Amino acid sequence: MNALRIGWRNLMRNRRRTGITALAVALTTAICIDTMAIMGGVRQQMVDAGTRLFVGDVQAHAPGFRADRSIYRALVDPARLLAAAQALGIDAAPRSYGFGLVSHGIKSAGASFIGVEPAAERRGFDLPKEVFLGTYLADVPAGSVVIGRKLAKSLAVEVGDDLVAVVQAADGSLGNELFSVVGILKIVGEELDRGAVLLHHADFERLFVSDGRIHEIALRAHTRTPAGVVAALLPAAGAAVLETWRELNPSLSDMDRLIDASVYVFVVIFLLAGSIGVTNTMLMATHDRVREFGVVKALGATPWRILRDVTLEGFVLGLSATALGTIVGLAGGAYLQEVGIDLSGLMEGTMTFSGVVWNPILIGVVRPSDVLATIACMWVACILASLYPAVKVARLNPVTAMTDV
Amino acid sequence: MLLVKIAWRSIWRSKRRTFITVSALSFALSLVVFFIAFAEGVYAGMINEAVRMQAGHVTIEHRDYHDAPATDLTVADAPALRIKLAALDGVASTKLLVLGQGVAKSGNGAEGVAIMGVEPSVEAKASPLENKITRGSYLDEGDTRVVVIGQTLAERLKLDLGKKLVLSTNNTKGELVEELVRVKGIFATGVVEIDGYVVQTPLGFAQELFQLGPHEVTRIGLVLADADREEEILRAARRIIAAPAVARPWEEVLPDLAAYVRFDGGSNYIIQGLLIFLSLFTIFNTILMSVLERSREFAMMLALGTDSLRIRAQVVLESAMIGVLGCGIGLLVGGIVALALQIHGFDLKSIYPEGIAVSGVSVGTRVYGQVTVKLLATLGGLVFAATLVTSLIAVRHISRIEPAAVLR
Amino acid sequence: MTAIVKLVGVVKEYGAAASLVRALRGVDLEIDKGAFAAIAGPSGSGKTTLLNIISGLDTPGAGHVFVEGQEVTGMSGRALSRLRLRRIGFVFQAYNLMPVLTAFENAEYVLLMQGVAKAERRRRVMNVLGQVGLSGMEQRFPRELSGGQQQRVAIARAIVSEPALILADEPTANVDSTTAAGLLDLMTELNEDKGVTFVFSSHDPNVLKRAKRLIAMKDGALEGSADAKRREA
Repeated sequence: MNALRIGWRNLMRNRRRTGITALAVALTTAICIDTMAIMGGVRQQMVDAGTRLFVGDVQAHAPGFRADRSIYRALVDPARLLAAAQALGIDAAPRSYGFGLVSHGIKSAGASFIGVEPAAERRGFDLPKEVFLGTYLADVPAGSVVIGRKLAKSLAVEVGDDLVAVVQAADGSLGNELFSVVGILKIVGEELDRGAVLLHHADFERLFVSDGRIHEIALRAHTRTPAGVVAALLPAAGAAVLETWRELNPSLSDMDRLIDASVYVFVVIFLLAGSIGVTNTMLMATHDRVREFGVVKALGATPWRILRDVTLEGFVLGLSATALGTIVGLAGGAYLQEVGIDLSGLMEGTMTFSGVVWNPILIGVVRPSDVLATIACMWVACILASLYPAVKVARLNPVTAMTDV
Repeated sequence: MLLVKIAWRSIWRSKRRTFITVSALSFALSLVVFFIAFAEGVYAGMINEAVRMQAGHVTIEHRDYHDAPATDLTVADAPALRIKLAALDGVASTKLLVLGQGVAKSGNGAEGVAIMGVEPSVEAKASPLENKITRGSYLDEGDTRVVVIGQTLAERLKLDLGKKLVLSTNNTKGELVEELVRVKGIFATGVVEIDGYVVQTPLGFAQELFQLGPHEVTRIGLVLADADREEEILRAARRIIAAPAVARPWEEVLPDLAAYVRFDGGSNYIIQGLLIFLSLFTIFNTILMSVLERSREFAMMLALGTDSLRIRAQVVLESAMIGVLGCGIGLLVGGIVALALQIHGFDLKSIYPEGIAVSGVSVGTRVYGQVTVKLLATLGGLVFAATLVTSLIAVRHISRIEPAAVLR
Repeated sequence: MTAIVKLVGVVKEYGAAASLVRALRGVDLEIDKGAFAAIAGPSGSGKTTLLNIISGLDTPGAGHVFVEGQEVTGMSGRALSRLRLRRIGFVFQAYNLMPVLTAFENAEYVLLMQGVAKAERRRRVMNVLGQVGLSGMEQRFPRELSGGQQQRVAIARAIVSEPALILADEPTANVDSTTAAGLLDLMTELNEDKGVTFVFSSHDPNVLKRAKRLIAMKDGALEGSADAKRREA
């Protein structure tokens, strides 16, 4: 305790120099905290867009479905999985997939028909809220569809228009029906944008004569990790394949990891830049006091004691500076969390990254673990930065030190 | 000059301090140079891939196509126009494209696809797709009723070389047409949006499919030798073409890519700026301390009749020398590493095996840095200027030295 | 005889109200051209302040200061700078020299600022360095010279520009007695042979007894000045 106080007083001997260095360290800390917050937010937003919207944290399919998307490869016992999910408090949405053609006037395009249960979708996923024009599907079947933005554009279709769907039904016949477009989605991701036609599962069954086949169950975990969801539902899965979003969208997963890694690289670089200042200041501080150290050594202080004292001084500097920096960083982080940085002026189009939409309003996410890690690393950096000056002084010869000019 | 001599000797008086300041500067600057060169290289690579695979740096298309793409919106008299455009200075190659939406059907299912009618000989030279053929071969002149498809599409429809598939689409007359084609080659770009969606076929066949005349195309793409001349060539192109055709820069045709480059570039510059800013603290501290420590010396010089301006000039000159040393070393180290990156490139596969896609454009797995003299000069100049400004702030202290108080 | 320095009612105080220091309390003083005067007194008596006031480095709270008949109080910073450059030479107690310049370059410094031509500078500097007994040491840096040698360089620098007046603040305080004697021999020689006016401060009796005029100070006021000759008598 006493050594800390002495360290503090020594630092105060040259307030300006200490102040400037403390400011630099504080700024480094704040920058690290806020950079991690923003990048954490960007990652979170990307992953959410990739999962919360539609894909979910985990999906169940029949083996081989993902490779060929055949209408015949349905889940064997979807009801069991759905019941298990409900019992565990995991949101589940069953979906059916089929392929066909939609046309409006002379324009036509290939479409991926997705039969959904609107209530389940609304409960567990965000897509129903991402309607650009019109509304999402009603809970009761009404011969209506909600389509992707780019699909609407290429068909020149508006809300209220009719679409003709021509499909190859499961029983081999040609399905041919008229649907009414009740909603057009916002830009949410490549695949949905350019090919999705969402319809009530009852409408889907009729169109495709699909006999109640369900091809996919998308699951949203709230408290569990994706791996945890897989583990919890494995007993009820039977032959079905449970995969997490990382396996379903490996490029998104890689991008997530890449951002994480690059944040750490930047934080390390910033810590280094801040530490140079600490080393510089401690060198100057010890240089000024060479005579004093000489006297102290002559009086019997061991090199270890001097090493400890000088390092402690650097640590005290780091301690107070990171305290200040953390306050500033958290304040910035709070702002980033509430308001965020609005970059929509910079971007004209919407940008998708690995198929996932990039939100131009960057919202930060402050994780306590990140903040604590930054503080701890900054402390360690300050201690390490003070070691070189401390060692230099600890090895002084008392006599030459005392007569130093 | 006495001032220069005094300044130079002064900075070497305390070697350790000078060493630290120079180190801080060069460390920061070399990092900045490296990261910016790396980023610029990645962007340039992405843009290069995208424009060569799609419709060039400058695209000629029907003015309404941008807002509502449709197969009947074409550029007329394309071959003749193309010859005139190819003659423009700075145009490396031109490509003709016919684009439309359709469905690809096989015995195992159907998928929505983008049908791209291309000139095989031009694409083979210009487009990166040709290099990404993993099985079979690319299209040749004279081919008809063949396609090259992506690996993902092949898997989904269970197609292999030589197998047949049906392309079905609406032609310009509004009729539903279906054609049987054979798979000649399978490519893999690593980007699902391309590998599962793009089908390339010879231009003539595409024109027949969509019922377009032999002189009609959807887009004429101009690939430039020097991407910086885009503005100039855009203007030149506009003088040649006539309504309803318009010339658009790639930033309009691929707005997502443009947005990404702007966004990522912007955030990169902010981070680099912060890094330099942090380093300036150390430099400021050092300069200020060296001024304060020399108060007696400066007081003595003032007493001898030296102008305080001269003393301030000395300190600023000292900072300038440290700036030159630090920036010089920083540029050298950063420049060498960036140059190595430019020559050897860096394989992204080691950290990102799936390949990165931005709005359907593949980044390409090998990235090269891009370091130019202009970049080095700009960065070095900025950092040097920042160092000088920092020293100017620090020397404000000198005018406050009262020799009498110091000498007391 | 012409007064080279004249002080009228000079007052100098500094510090805040609670810790006010009255360095000079109404000093009247005249020093003649060619004088070899010492300001005597214990530490804190205001010796340094007096010298600083004479040179214009410090401005009095009240009163007037004249150097060579010109009023120094109220002069602009630039004018004072010029005065110090051309008319007054300085020797400080310590930290006289610029550490990064050699003995030659230190001595040359003032001449350079005055704009003297290179050949002329060289001639004069070599000359004075010889006069102070430092021939052969011109290329040495201050850290390579002893305390006494450093002071000699300072004196050389002070005289090389041939000023009217040389002010020295405790010039022998940091050197041993033999060296001190040598420095004073040098100063006396310059005063008698070249007629340079010297005003120096000291609290060392061995130094003071060499002065031709004693200006005694105590607590910021003159105790009356005595002629050294009268003292000896």
